[in-house]
Amino acid sequence: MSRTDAPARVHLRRSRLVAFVGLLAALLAGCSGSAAQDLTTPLQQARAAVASDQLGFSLLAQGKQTSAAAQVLTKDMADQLSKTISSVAQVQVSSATDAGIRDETLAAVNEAGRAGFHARDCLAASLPCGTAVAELNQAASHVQSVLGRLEQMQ
Amino acid sequence: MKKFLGLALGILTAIGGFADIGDIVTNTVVGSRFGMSLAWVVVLGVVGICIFAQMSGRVAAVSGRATFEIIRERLGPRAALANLIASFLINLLTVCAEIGGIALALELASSVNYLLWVPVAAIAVWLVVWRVKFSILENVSGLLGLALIGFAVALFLLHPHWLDLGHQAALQVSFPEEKATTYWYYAVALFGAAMTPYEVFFFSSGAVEEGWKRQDLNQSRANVLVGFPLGGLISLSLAATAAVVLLPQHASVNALSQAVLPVAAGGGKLLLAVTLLGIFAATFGAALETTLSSGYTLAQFLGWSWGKFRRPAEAARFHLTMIITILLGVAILLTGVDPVQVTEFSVVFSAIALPLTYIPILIIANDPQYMGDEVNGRLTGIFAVVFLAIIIVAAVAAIPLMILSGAGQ
Repeated sequence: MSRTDAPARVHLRRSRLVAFVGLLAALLAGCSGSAAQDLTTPLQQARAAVASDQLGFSLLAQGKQTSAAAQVLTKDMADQLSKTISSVAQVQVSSATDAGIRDETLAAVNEAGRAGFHARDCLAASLPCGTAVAELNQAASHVQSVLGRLEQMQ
Repeated sequence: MKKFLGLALGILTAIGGFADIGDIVTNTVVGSRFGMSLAWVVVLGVVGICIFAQMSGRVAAVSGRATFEIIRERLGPRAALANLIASFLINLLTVCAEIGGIALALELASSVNYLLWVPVAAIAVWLVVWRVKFSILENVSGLLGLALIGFAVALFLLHPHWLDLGHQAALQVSFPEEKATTYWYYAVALFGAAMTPYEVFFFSSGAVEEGWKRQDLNQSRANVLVGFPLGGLISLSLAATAAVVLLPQHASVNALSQAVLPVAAGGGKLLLAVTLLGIFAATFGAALETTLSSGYTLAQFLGWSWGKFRRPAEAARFHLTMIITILLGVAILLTGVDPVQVTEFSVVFSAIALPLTYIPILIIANDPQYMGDEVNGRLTGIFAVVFLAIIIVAAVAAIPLMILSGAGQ
């Protein structure tokens, strides 16, 4: 190898390294290319959290669930829902259609979050949770309908 | 009669000690997202850990030396150092996950935040490692871990459609909401959960602690070949309960509080209490094993005096290593990192590091000069090489799958 080739090879290696790091960063960031795809996962997570809360309350009403375990469940699901709200809010959009579906998704996860926080707080304070359960049911329907639309768009 | 009781105790301990937080989390996550379609990986992992544990127990009984002493002897100090660093870091991650698991189980029983339980759990682990005899800590945690059978009882009480579960397991039903990369990512995670390296460090070092000889090998084989597959059935029941109760509701598991919902649905408060005891015992037992494994790996590599059969003053550096490991685990957990996510990462990294410990043990178990009559037979040898290929494929695929699936998102 001649001395003059060496800088070119070093440059080529650096370029490859930069390209590799860029690709890795893009993959790690989870860029999927469309807003509908980026919104689906958090919405599915919101649906899972709301469904778990609903199941927890149903078991509590049947006397099958301890109040300690139910309290921990609603706390965990509230944490999950707040993460979901943040991740939906961070989704960037490039068209009016995408902005519309992002806002609709945000409204659905916000409603789920409100219901989840209400469920957590009423159990922690040992208050009647009838309203919270009704809110969870409503939020579940809302999340499911937006999820249906997102799936149609993909 | 005494021999029979010893055999029964060993098998029961192997069943109860099989599952840890990695198995509990990974199986319930998988069951709630993929039903029983990954049951084949649990079966594969159980066969793999039977072969691996049986080989390492045999090597320890024949040579009187534990896994890491042999790794250093076979690979040389430099290659073994890289192996030590990888194994120690993964062990630390597992200690962290197990202490987090104890704290989560106590939180579920008391509703007191798990972060307040973390220091309590760590002190309890340290006290037991420091004061309690090896055979007692192994047997008590293993026997109490049998309470995890609550998941299997719940499965029967839920009256599932067994044919549907069998259909999911055998015919590989597709789940349109899940990507293929996520499926394979969780396949690697389940494999890593079943074949965690610390189990082998603990198993082979335990053989030295208990002074196994060639005549003890039959009991060791029975413990492994009967106890581990029955422990595997508990793992399958974890996935099955989630598949029956959570999958139809789209309630994918992200927290331990979701994982126990099927138990409450099937058996109510009493079964839930028994199962929480099982989760506590399984994670506590695994925390003891991983903490001891940290001490074992470092002390065996550096040639320090080690073992529970010695008084702590005679193995001071071994005990200091364990104290530092526990403190590091607590420090990581107190940053507020989610113990369930730590668990998910620990099982995947376990799969990545598995060849590092499997290969040296396989080489020695195949060496007639070293093993004499106890060298691998033809059938074991074939199985062991097939598993070597599977382990390497899982280790190589783990990181790309983690990136492509967004760590299973």
